[in-house]
Amino acid sequence: MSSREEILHQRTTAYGVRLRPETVTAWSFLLPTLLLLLVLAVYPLGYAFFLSMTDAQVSGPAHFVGLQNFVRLLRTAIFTLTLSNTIWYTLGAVAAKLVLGLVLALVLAQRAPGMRWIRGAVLIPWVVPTSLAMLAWTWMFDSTYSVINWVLMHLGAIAEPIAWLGTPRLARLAVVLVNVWSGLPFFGINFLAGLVTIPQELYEAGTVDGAGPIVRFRHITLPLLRPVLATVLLFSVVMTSSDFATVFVLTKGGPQNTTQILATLAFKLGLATGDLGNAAAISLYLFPILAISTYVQVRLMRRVWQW
Amino acid sequence: MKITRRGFLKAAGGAGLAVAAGTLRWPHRVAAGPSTTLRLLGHSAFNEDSDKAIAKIGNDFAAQHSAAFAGDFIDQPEVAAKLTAEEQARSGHDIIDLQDNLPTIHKDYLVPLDDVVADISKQFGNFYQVAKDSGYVDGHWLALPWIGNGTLGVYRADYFGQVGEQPPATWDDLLRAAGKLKKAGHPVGLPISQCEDANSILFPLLWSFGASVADAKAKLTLDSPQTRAALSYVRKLFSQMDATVLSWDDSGNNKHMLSGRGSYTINAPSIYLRAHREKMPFAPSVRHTLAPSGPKGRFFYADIHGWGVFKFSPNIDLAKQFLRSMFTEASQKTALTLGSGYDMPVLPHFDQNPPYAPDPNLRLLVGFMRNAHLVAYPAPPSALAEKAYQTYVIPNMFAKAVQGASDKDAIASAVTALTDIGYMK
Repeated sequence: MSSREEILHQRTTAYGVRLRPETVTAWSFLLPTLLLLLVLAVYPLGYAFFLSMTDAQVSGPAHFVGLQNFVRLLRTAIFTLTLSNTIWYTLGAVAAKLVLGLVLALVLAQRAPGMRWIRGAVLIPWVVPTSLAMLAWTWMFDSTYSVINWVLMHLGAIAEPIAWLGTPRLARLAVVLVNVWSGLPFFGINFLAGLVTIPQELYEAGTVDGAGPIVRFRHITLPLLRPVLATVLLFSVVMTSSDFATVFVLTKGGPQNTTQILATLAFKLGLATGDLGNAAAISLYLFPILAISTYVQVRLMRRVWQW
Repeated sequence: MKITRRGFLKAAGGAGLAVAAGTLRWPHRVAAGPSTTLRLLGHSAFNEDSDKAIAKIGNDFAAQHSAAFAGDFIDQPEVAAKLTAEEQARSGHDIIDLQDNLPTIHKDYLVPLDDVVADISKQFGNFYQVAKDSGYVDGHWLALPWIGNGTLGVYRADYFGQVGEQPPATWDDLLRAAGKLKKAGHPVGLPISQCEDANSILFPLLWSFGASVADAKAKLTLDSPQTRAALSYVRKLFSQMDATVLSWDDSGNNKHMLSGRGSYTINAPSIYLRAHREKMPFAPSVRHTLAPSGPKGRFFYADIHGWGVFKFSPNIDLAKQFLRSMFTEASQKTALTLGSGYDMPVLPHFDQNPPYAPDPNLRLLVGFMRNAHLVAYPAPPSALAEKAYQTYVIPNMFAKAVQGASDKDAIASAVTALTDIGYMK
């Protein structure tokens, strides 16, 4: 009597395809995820690419215009300002989160009474719903009821309220500050997870060889933490450059568009005024840069930074 | 009966296939009958009773037509985004709130309502011109005008009395009073920021100086001596206001007045209504006056809200019936009573006896719509005007000017922004 594999082999070879039971099982497990990705990621991305190469408005016919939207946008003042805002916002917020996250992880890695509770509490800004947190920050920066202004005025430090969200420099600082506040726990906890996987023996050996805390950090902690650093950095650059809620709730892109970032401008033009082609182009502008940097970073992580 | 895991998976898979193949059907919405739900998308008004009025009219209509009514009221700036999302999905609400330029932008998805408007006009007369400017697109009524929101000067009579000033009738009156009021610790405040209130104040200010963004043919006219005069005036006024006006959102001037610090702003009646509703100690001193006039007269901006019906709605006929029911004496009385003067009629017929008229502070609004314009004025509504409105080109021009930019630079940046949008020089 033929085995099950032999029967399957006989059946499939008739179509020239060899389907092993393991392959069928594997694809059946993968299929739901693939379908979800197809519907929720591939289709919207493909549609956005299509729209970005048309002059589509919400009403009226759409015509193929190739890369015209991408080229024309670079000649508009609001877009160049927005692009530069997005780059500075991403660099500023990610750099601050990187440095502070590392410090936070080193502090959380210490053994101290109540540290488990502190580690839990650190996560609060990250788990609080973004819009609620942003509303709280809006109140803190409010021109009339700002708690910061109230304290400063009662201390006699200022004579009249400061327009925290009304001047370009302060507003930019405010949106970066709030993004750092909400994203810092993600950095801290991930770095902490990386720190605890570093074998203690390496530190002990370093100490025996006379290495001080700074030398141990530079030559043991940092190199071994590099894969985690790279992963967190990668995620953060992508998430921060496509951030929407912080700016939308806090400043709506103001004052004078100095906190306008790609996501909020795309929302304004695409959804609020129906200029779908330009809005899609705006939202995809950083895609090639992010895709290439992601690819390079992932390759590096696989080939160089494994330990 | 014992259900095995394999049996369960087979049954579930079989049911899924059957549904996909159309053997079974999910329960679906029918065109009429008790299971029909009429879904309406509106903006969440500062005067919360406005939403209640629509819900009441909707529920009364639904009860008479064996249907259900579901009203969703969301923040004004998010309505347009929701419309676009629903149009892309070809699914969503039946009746939608269309403000100012939106009927023009979304025209491909809207059912012509000429028959509804004809019936209403036959009974109550024609709509105000500003309402027609918004709802009448390419020879068809694509939105049924519903209400208009206007702005008035809101002032504290006690503070003005303390500095020996009358409520300002002109921009110069306001400037003179502003200096005294700032010294008294109660500055006047107009938003010069990226918010709708800034648009609704600064556009009429421009018009009152004889300036405008574009002419009737939508050709740019902003770079003019009249615009320079307006910039010069706002610079002087800004020096008498808190610098925080540069950061205000739409609630900024409400808070400025309701905190007790502010002495004057321009706003819809929401400040006055809230002060009285919550019996704030200074409520009797909160008064209304018409917004100031400039060298070329007094101009008003009106925010027109109309109702449209999506072409992909399964309930078009019912939706039209509902819209007709919104223009009866009883429905209008409900809307205008709960609207408390915040919502003004778009048909002169209902101006004859508005329920808020006995209040002298709200009576100023009677006939407001007669002299009101949309932001595109003197050009017709368009997607360009909406982009200029949504990207706050005019408030940003004034913000630049009051923060040190020369007239030439402030106007040049606005003209660049407008030509980037698509305006022709």
